[in-house]
Amino acid sequence: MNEYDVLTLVDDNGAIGEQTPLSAPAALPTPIPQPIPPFPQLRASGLYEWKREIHLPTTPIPQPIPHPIPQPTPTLSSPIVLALRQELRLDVDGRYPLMVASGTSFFRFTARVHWIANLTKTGLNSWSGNIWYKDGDTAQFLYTQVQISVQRGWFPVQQSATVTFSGGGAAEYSLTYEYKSSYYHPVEFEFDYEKGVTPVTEIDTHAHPNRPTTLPKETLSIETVYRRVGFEVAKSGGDSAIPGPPPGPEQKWSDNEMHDAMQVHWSRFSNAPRWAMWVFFATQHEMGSGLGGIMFDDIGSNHRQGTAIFYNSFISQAPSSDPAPDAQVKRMRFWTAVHEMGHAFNLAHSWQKALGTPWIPLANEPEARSFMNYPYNVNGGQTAFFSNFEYRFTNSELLFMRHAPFRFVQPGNANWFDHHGFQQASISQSPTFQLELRVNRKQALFEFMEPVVLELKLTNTSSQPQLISDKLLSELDHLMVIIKKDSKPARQFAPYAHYCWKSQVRVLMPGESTYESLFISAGKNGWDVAEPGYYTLQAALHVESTGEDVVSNPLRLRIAPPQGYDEEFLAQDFFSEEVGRILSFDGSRVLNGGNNTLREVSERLGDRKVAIHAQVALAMPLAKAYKVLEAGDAGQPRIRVLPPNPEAANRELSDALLEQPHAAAETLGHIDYKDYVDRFSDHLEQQGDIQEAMDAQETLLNTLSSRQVIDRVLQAIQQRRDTYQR
Amino acid sequence: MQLLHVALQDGFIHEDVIVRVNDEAVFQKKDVNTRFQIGFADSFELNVQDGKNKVEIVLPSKQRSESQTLEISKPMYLSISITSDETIEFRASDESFKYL
Repeated sequence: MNEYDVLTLVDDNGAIGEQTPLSAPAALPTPIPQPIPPFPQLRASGLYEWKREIHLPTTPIPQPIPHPIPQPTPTLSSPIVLALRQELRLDVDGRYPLMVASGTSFFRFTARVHWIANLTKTGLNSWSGNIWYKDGDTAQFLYTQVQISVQRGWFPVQQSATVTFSGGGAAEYSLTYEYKSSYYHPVEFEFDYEKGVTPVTEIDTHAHPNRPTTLPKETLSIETVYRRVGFEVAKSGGDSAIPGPPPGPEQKWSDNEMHDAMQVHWSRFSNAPRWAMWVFFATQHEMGSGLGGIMFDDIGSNHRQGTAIFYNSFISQAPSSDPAPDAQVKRMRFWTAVHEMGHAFNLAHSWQKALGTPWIPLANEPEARSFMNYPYNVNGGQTAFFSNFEYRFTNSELLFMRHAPFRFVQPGNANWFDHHGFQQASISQSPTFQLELRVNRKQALFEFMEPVVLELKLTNTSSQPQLISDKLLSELDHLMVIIKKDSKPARQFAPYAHYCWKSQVRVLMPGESTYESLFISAGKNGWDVAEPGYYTLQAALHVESTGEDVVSNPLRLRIAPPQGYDEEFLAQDFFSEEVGRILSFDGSRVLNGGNNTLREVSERLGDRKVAIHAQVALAMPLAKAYKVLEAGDAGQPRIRVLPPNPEAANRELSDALLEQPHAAAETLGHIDYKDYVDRFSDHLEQQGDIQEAMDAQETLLNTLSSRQVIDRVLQAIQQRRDTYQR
Repeated sequence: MQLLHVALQDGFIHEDVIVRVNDEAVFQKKDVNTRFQIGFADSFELNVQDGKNKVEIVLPSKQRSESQTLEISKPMYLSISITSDETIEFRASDESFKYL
């Protein structure tokens, strides 16, 4: 028996003590209705809301006022950015509690931020935990921790939750939300069916003898399954029979025909994101009896609104040895309906979680006893599956449907399989590391054509020293970076090369950080970050020593539009694979087409930051002898050594790195800037230009010092400079 | 002769695909895509000789190919999938494939 069975006053069918509906007016203190319940509200979980009507003022807003946005950003003092509405989803009791809270702040009318935290119980009515996921305008939401306390009442309208946000360098801030519902999202289903088909929308859980011994006997409906997920399920009331295709060999449904039928027959159809879904019970799909059901709506602009189940298919054929074939068929028809509806909420199959464009790394669950797995594909087949299937989704699937940013889940919103079932990484409840994704500039705004170099910062947030590989951040096998341009599907960054390092174990002390840079603009997928617009990037790192998956902050960045004809013209050649490879590998003396483009960029766009990258990439291979593999006599490969051109290299590197050192440090990133200057000054020293080498290090020191780079790095620069002097 | 049913299932995203059976190209298609909601991209059937048959899939854009030799004595259903780590996976069954 779980906590839900003991405490709840609200059952899954909404029959006992149903909560305030989502459409109810804002909760205010009201006279106590009759009859008085015997106990106060016992369930804390559910949806809470804070709402403030704000009319754009012409005079300053008097202080103090609730201010959900961190204070340090000066623009936030403007009343127009005040949050208008915030939602809190508290998930600590009831059916399948996940010990998670999530929240969404809607502010500045169109902007929003979404966060998720794992919770630990700290008292009878209080919980606290770390925020491990943020989405949206995260630059305006710096907090890293939440403390939540629930004030219970005799009636739903009297219940509230106070959330205190802290950490991240922002001033601590508390907000009290009013209880809205025991559910996290509303949803409306319509079950239409082809004439002659009788939909199975509920079953007796004990009708089939092969079941878990602990499975409660009940009449379970599709609506109840989804109420247990956390949806406030309503029926449209428009369930009706619709004509099937004409008899004959064409008496089968195509996806387009079902999409048309949805538009005609769904009483609530509107081609827009809505918490509503059309479920169609039909005879057969044109693929034949091998297709039991399909979420057919990956057509057009608003995916995942319609789903279909086919009764003239294999789901209506029980295995020959089944002891209760009728019950088995009914169970499979019921199971299939819930399964296809799960796809409409953007859930992938259990064995596909790692495919497509998950938001963070996903683990496949081929043996899961979930509505999203194929019963006949697990070890032992469907007999094994149903012997311990409890008519539920896995916790990670529940987490997605309850707490993911709503646009990923809501039918008609994010495209099918884009951001699907995003949370299955092995994220620790008590993370020992923090991964930060950042750029070395105040605003993550990049010029058009300016290559994007990220900085990865991994910090030991535990109280104990941690052993890690010294190449942990360099080994891209352990790192996944997802790049999502607004309104485009997310893509996984695929670097040009994976390096096989001989790594050594190093100790990362409590609070200590390690850093690495990452050129993210181009890779094997092409130029993932190139077009003007807004992008969201997020990284996940697998730390083998602890088995932990560390997920970074989502980094929001913008690529500015081109400033003139020259940029637009050169961009056609610049966004090529050759240029991507040259920039990624710090130059080439073989990829001549790319080098020509970079030379043109350097000459014609000298005032743009891309010119700095071009100059470095052109100069680096000239600094020393360069080996080229080419076909020799009789087709035998041979290595030809191209001589260095130190004068040209010195000229380009001096111009790129030392003339405008702050611009260079900003666009190349602090890590790469230091690396390039080190290589340049070593090169100067080898040529006997000791003073120039020292001057280069001095410029590096002054530049990074004024950019508040940590002392450890500054000391290393001083040491290198002093070494040249000796 | 026996029926060989080949189904391209998970992991195909804008993939050009060539399938050879016993070194003869029997399937060639551009832009093959998995419909992830049913885990199916494409399929074809052909009759093959009883005994050993070599099935090879070539993915030119990935510069990858993989083959498997099957002992076929009755109708066979062969699925080919690309996993998340880009491994090509074959799965043979004597039952037709079912999709949901």
